[in-house]
Amino acid sequence: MQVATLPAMKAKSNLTTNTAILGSLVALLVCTMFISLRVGALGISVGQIVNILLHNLGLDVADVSSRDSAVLLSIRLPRLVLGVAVGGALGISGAALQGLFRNPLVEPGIIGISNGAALMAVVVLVFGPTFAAFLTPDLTTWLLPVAAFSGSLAATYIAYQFSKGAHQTDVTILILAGVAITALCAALMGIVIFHSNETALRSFTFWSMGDLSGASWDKIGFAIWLIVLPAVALIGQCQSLNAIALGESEARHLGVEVEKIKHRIILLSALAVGASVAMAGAIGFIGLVVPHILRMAFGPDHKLILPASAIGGAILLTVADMIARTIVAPTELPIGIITALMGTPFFIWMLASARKKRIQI
Amino acid sequence: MYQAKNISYSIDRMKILNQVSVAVFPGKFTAIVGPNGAGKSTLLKALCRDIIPNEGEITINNQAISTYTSKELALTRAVLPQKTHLSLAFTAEEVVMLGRTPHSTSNQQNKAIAHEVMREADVYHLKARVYQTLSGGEQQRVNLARVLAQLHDQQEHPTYLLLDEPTSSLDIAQQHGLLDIVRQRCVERGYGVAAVVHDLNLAAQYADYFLFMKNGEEVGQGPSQLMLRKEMIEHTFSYPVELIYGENSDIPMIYTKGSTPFENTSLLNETINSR
Repeated sequence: MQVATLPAMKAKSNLTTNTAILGSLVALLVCTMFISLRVGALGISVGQIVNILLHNLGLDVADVSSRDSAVLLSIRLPRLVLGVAVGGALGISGAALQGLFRNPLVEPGIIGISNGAALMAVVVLVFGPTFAAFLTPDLTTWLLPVAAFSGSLAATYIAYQFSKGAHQTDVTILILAGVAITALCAALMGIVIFHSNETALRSFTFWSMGDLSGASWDKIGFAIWLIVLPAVALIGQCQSLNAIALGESEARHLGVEVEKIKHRIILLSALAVGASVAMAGAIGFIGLVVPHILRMAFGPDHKLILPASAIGGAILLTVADMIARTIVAPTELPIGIITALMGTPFFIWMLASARKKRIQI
Repeated sequence: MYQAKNISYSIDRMKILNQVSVAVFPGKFTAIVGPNGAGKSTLLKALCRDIIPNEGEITINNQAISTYTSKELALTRAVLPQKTHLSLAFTAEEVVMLGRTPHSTSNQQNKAIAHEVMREADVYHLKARVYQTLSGGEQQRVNLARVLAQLHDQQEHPTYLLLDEPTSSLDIAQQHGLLDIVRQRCVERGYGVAAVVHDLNLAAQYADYFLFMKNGEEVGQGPSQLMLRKEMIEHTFSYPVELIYGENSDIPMIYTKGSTPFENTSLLNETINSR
């Protein structure tokens, strides 16, 4: 058998290789971020961007146009930061949940996170205006993200309660319960949509395909930490996730506290993805595909795959957002369309080549 | 000593284990044998702490198993299952390296240990191969190397190796290859070994002690010479056997004739009546 002699599939536990891969991915992300800041209705050169950023850090740099500065700092930068955080959170949660559930089809949405949020979002969009009179404008802005966030946590919690047995959590039941709750949420959403008007329906459709527009510093200020901190904490679970690939009891025999790890990963993913969906809508595809692409390229070691999925997700979402807001300017496309259009062909190509080389995914 | 004292375990009021006791001594090989559904694997699961018995207690080196942290337990005993399904495409070397999970040794040391045990288990040449592309026998040897890597470091207390039908998917050469290594560790490093084995002849050649089980209960246990008797085996398995002794060997060959036990109604009735 001449299988798996590809250099990429060889043992990549080598620390220096991992550092090099992660370094290159970070460099790629930084390049993408700069390009994303550059393009738009108002072209700003890279030199200008650097000047503005340095100026903002208190350095004395000449030649900073206040208009460029305003566009960059209060429109493009918060949007970019949100995109990077959301992409990163989706990527790493997808990788961690696929590892935990030992199932390649898992994505954050499968345990109810996305549809729980979507249900609450549609409720707010459809019935919100009726109650708007009773709320302060401040509350109205926050109502959608807060409702979506609580919706995702509630859906995950219910799915999780179902799967909790006397001694251990059954991940198959968790996935099935997630599927059931996702279906129930979809049905309830249908009922709400049935009562909605055109405007609300349109806002919801756009929300459900992902939307980074309208990101501003005060809007993302708190949410960004709710997305980033759990996502970073997920990286710490890499060694345990590697052992769980052997099976839950085998991991336990190796001293991994499987139950604790399960609770931790589900909680951290629900927080990061819940907050992401609340801020940017349901952006599919990244959590499913980014980890697969990276595993096919660099092997399955979670020490590499978890941080790499975060960076890869951030790159994909940044590029997608750049395309979404420029391709049909002055309006923009929902970002979920772009992530799927960009990622699917690439993913299918990788699957096909993996099959040709008979690599196990 | 790894000891279970009068443990019972039931699922939905059905007793899977009933007052079973067993002791696994350091440096000794204990074989757990019995017909299907006798509760052998459940007993092994209880010994691993995969399940908690409803009654009785399990101690390792005179300390209750419940007082061990997961990590301490992993440094005291390793478990080799019948088969290990990997969900990700790790290489053989990476799988063996996972055996080092409970240890805080450096990556370099772990790699050196992994290579050492992989040579012993004769899988070093497979180290860059993806686990899923290996044959069943190769996979099992990789997992043997993994548990050897887990128990590699000398501990102050005795360490144990629990095996659940480790040879059931292997050919005869591989069966002996695997059990030879286990036996060697047992003698040289003083590992206490408990193994659920289906093949009595195989078990007879490696085990110092036998535990015979049937219907969740102990039928008998003790040193091999005392336990490997015609009546004990026939009673446990409800099937007629003959014991044949080689010229210079005190290990019997257990010979079974190819007929169904239902035809041997006399023996069947006898065993039913004796229960």
